[in-house]
Amino acid sequence: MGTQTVQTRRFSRQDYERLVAEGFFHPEERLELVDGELIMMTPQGSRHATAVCLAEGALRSLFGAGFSVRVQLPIALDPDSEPEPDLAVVTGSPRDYRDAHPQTAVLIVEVTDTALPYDRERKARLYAKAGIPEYWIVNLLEGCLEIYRHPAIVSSPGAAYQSHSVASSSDTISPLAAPERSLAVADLLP
Amino acid sequence: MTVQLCRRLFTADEYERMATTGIFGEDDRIELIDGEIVTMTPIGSRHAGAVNRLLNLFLPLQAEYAAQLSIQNPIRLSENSEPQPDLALLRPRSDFYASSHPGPQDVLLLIEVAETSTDFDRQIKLPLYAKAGIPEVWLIDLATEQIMAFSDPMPTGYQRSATYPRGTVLTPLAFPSTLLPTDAILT
Repeated sequence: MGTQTVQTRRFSRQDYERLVAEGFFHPEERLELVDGELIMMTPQGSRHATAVCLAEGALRSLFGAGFSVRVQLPIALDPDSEPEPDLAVVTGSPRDYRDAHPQTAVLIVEVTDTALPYDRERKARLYAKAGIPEYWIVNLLEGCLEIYRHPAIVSSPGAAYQSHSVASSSDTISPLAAPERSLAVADLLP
Repeated sequence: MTVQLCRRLFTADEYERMATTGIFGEDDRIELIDGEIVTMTPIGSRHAGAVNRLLNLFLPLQAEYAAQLSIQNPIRLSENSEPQPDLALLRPRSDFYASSHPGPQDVLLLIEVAETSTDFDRQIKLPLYAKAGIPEVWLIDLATEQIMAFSDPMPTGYQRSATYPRGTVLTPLAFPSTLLPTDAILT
């Protein structure tokens, strides 16, 4: 057959959603579609799960009416991507997304205890490319919050977001979409 | 710290089920290799010509019902591999393999044609064919104008290999009286 490089068949979001709708995958499988690749997500440890719960509570109190906090649910980000970030803050109420997953979010949060390069590089590129205005990584390995803002218009490796800062456990921060509210980073750490 | 980033792999059952959902188009040239759905490069005219020449040369075996020729069709190699070799000589079956794809026990000879590089065939597919016990595989290398024949499969690989340049003649193990001049295959 004479292939020089091995290319795997990419899946579109439409392919993926069709497979999901047909019950192709086991109900307990945790998958996400990233740039046409079906990635298996790692099982969650207790620290990771705790951090997700903490972030959920903190975000719900930060963002009031008019926003929904979605936990580990799909986002129909682009034609080849449907990730399931740990948390996504979207506009509107849950029923607004009854017939289709949200396509964007005002804030996406990933909790990371193992896959830092994946979340920092690949996920950051993915979210920036889709125009997600703000992306946080709750970094459990280093006990801090990484804040990425202002997606670059031209995405190139390593330059997904134009602004990148790190907040320590003694800092407080305000999300771009709720500038009048603030949150102690310590509240996000298990 | 490890990055546990794994692509979802598929079994041959899942792969065949996926095909029934209609997500693959008629033009999708794909095969399942070790759980990965791999896309194949488009077939160039030299490649197509070589397959056509092989088909012509093997037609007498087909006419005598000695072998079923199968062109670029799937072989159910194992639980997680279902490649589509360029040509397969199969044991004739009354249903023409309509009820299920052939398995390794149905294969007499597999032939892969490579127009530019034999790396994928040699490094990835050949070990799978050996592990599945495919008795003989030929790689037609159009770039170097030679044919490599592999036989005596073991789980670790083929124990015997021979290279046939232009001007030589090769013979399938299953059909010792069929003589094929390499010049008639290499375009």
